[in-house]
Formats: sequence, structure tokens, C-alpha cells
Amino acid sequence: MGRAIVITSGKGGVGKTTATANLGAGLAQLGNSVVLIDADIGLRNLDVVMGLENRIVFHVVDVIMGRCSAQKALIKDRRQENLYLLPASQTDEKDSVTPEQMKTLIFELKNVFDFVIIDCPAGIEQGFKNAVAGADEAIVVATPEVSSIRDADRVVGLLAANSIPTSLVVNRISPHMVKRGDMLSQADVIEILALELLGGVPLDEEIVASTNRGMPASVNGRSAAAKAFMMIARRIAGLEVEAERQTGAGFFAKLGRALGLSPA
Amino acid sequence: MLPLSTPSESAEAAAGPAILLRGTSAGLEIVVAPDASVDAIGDALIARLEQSPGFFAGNDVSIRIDGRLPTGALARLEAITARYGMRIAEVGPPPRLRPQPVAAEPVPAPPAPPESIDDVPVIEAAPEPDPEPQPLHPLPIGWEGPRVLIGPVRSGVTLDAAGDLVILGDVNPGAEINARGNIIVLGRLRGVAHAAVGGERGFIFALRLEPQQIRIGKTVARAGEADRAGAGAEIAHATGKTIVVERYQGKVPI
Repeated sequence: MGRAIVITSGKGGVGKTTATANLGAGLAQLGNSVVLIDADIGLRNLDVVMGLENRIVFHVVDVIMGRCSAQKALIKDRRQENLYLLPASQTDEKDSVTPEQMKTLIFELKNVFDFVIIDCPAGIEQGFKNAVAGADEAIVVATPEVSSIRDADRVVGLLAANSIPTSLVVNRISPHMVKRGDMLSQADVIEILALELLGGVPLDEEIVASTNRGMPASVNGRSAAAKAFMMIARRIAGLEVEAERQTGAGFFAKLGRALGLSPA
Repeated sequence: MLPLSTPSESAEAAAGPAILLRGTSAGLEIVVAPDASVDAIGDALIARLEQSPGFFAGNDVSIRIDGRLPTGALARLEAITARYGMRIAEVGPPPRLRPQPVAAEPVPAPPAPPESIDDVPVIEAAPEPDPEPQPLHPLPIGWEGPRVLIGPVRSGVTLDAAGDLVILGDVNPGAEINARGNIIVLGRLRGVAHAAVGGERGFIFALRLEPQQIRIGKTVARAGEADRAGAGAEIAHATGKTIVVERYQGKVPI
């Protein structure tokens, strides 16, 4: 039986979909069979990030409504044998599926795959409820911004209410800005969210470029962000991970500032 | 003339004084016995008001009679009450005989004292399903004693305590904690805290007091713009119209 992990954040635009694509590709590279589910029904874009948009015939709502089998809707990745995508529908509403139906679907997929990674939509409404319904674990993605942390905190509370164990990925850390004192550090984010840290991902232009190319960066593994995603994937898979040497001491520099009141 | 609802009261009214002066939640009332004569009413009222002349001056008074005042009685009553500085605001039947919509002024029943700690109204008032009902462990102490909760209290959570509230852990920005008593946060207070809800005196203590806003009673204080780095344990209390925050020095400064 595989593990179902939902990637969520509350706030939009913090890198949920990018994290889903990169962690999925990373886990597949480590030899796991992985399926990515785009739960953002009506606003699908995981397929774009994966570069698979032109192969979509059926989608998750088709599967849930019984219009096709899950096998038919799954799209195999271009480069990795054991990586699949179950795309969202672009035309349906978020409430066209129920949490119960998602639960059933994810349970079936867990029988086949080692990892079921669910890309959660922004917000805490129906789409969020659907996305977390079948999840065994959650990864909250937060950027070192007060607005992102505020929303993440809310989502962590909701996940705790659903008894879903949650860990944290801090995305888009800019070491220079942290050094200058213009950005919250990774340590600051962990301190307020009080979650176990899976890893921090530095701000990296390469991520934007790879997203636009439709090819998750972690597969190449050259840029700093790609390495960070790969390291997080190893950690998810339960492999030994070296200390986070590439992030440098600057990341953890204590600022000693009041987080909630600081003008970040 | 309508009969009174119970024979005993009817008998009492007939045998008792012609008027009865009483204060009610709605104000001062002169209850007039249903079959008293104009003179009896007037004499009885003068006799009663003479006991403490001037005491009722400036008050509005309602005439309560089960039935109709005898002819001329109202004029007599107005003359007498005016002499003592009172004004007749209303003439009507006793409340229990008034028509239903008026008579049914609901007096909210006082809440029954909780039978166990489980009944203490610490309510998760958030409209969402409460994000954190599980890790909060109430201690088995008296129902007016402090309520001890394990944090962190996260954004979007509202906690209401009937007495004092103790939080072990942080109160994050976006969370709101309210207590009728005092609030003690053994962690960072970064959300909104309201102590002495419905009262005036109270304090808010935190190991790091960095709130968005604190309220004590009806007084509100919000965080300043400046960083409050380095401050240790602090305590906020209300003095009159302002909230004072000072370094905690081992005692409550009020």
C-alpha cells in the first residue's frame, strides 16, 4: 500500500504545483512508482508544469464519474517510466466531486503506486477539502512572507483537525535578503509554524525556466533549487540525507526579530 | 371587573391596602387594589409617600390595576404624584394579565452551573470545524478556575473561556483568545487577546508579548510599529482608560 501525500499551502502562488512536480519527479527518480493528482479542478496547471498538457484525453472528474477507468486517464511522463499524472478537469466545478469520491479514488491508486502526490488548490474551501480527504500525510509549502505564513498556519490547524500529520517545506528563500534582514529566515518560519521541516528551497531562476519548459528541475539536479527538491524527495522516501550543506549558514542566521510584527 | 387569577390574591387585595408601591425591573409601580374607592386610593398613596417624601421625586411611575380605575381616580393619582415630583407614565393591567406579546417579556433563565468540567463553556467559536480540538487537555479543576490549553493556537482559531485562560505554547497571528478572567500565555502572544470580557479589571501575561491587539475589558491597545525585540516576560493591565504594559517582575501590578 502506497502513501498519499497532499501538497498544500492555503495561499496561492507559493509553489505548490512546482513542489508537486519536482517532488514527484524526484521520488520517481529514486525508483518509486508515483502518480501525481491535480486536485485543482477548473484551474488545472500541473499538466503544464509537467509538459504533458497536449496528451490529456480524460481527467480526474471523468474517472470519478465512471466515464473512464483510472488507467485510461493516467498520463505517463515523457522521461520517467514510473511517473504518472492524473490531470484535473478544466471545465468542471470544484464541487463536482466529493471528498468521499476522492478518498475512494486515492485508495485505489495507493494499491498500485508507491506514492500518490495530490496537488491541492489554494484556499480552504471545497477544493481543499477534496484534496486532503484521502491524504495520509500533508506537506505545507510556505514562502518566507508573513502572508504566506499566516495562511499556512490556518491550514496546519485544519489539517491537525483532520488528524493528518504535517511537515513543512519553506520555498523561495533568498539567502541575500535574509542576510540583509529583509526576509524571514527558514528558522523564523519553522518557529512560528512549529512543524517538522522537510527542507528549504532557495529562490532560483532555474525553477521558473524549467516550469516554462515543462520539465521539473529536480530531474536534472544541477541548480540549487533542484538539489533542494531532490533532497526533500529523499527525505520523504525515508533515505538518509546529509546535513543541508548547500544552504549555508546564512539561512539559519538568527535575526532575533519579532516575527509577527516585523515589516517583511 | 375581571376576577384575579388566584382566589388568595383576590382576598388579599380586598383585605389589604388600597395601593402598593413597589419597584420593579421596569421601574416604579403603584399597584391599585381592584375594588378600592377613589378616596381610599388617594389616602393610601399619600400615606405611603409621606413615609419618605421626596424620595421618589423625578421618577416615572406606572399605575397597575387589574381592571379599570374608578372614575376620578386617575385625576387624583396624578395630582398626588405630581405633588411628590413624580409623573404617571402608564396605566395598565399587572404584567401577568397583559396581552401575550407584552406579557411574554422573556426573562433569560440564568445558566445552570455546569455539572462537570466538560460543561464549562470554552467554545471553539470558529465557523470552520475547529482546527485543534484534539490536543487541548482541560485539567480537572473547578469550573471557574483557569482553563489550561496546549498550543499553538493557530490562525483562524477562536477560544473563549468562562474564567482565566492559560495557554501553554504560542498564540499565532490571526488567532483570537477571549477570557472573562485573565489570560496567561506561556509562549509568544502574537494574535489578539481579550481579557476581562464583560468586566473591567484583568491582566494579560505572556513570555513574549507581541500581540496584534490586546483588549482588557472595554479598553483596546494595538501593537506599535516598532519591533519589540528583546523584551522578556511582560504583563499588560488596564488602569482606567489605558492599557499599561510592563516588564513582569514576579507579581501582578494591580
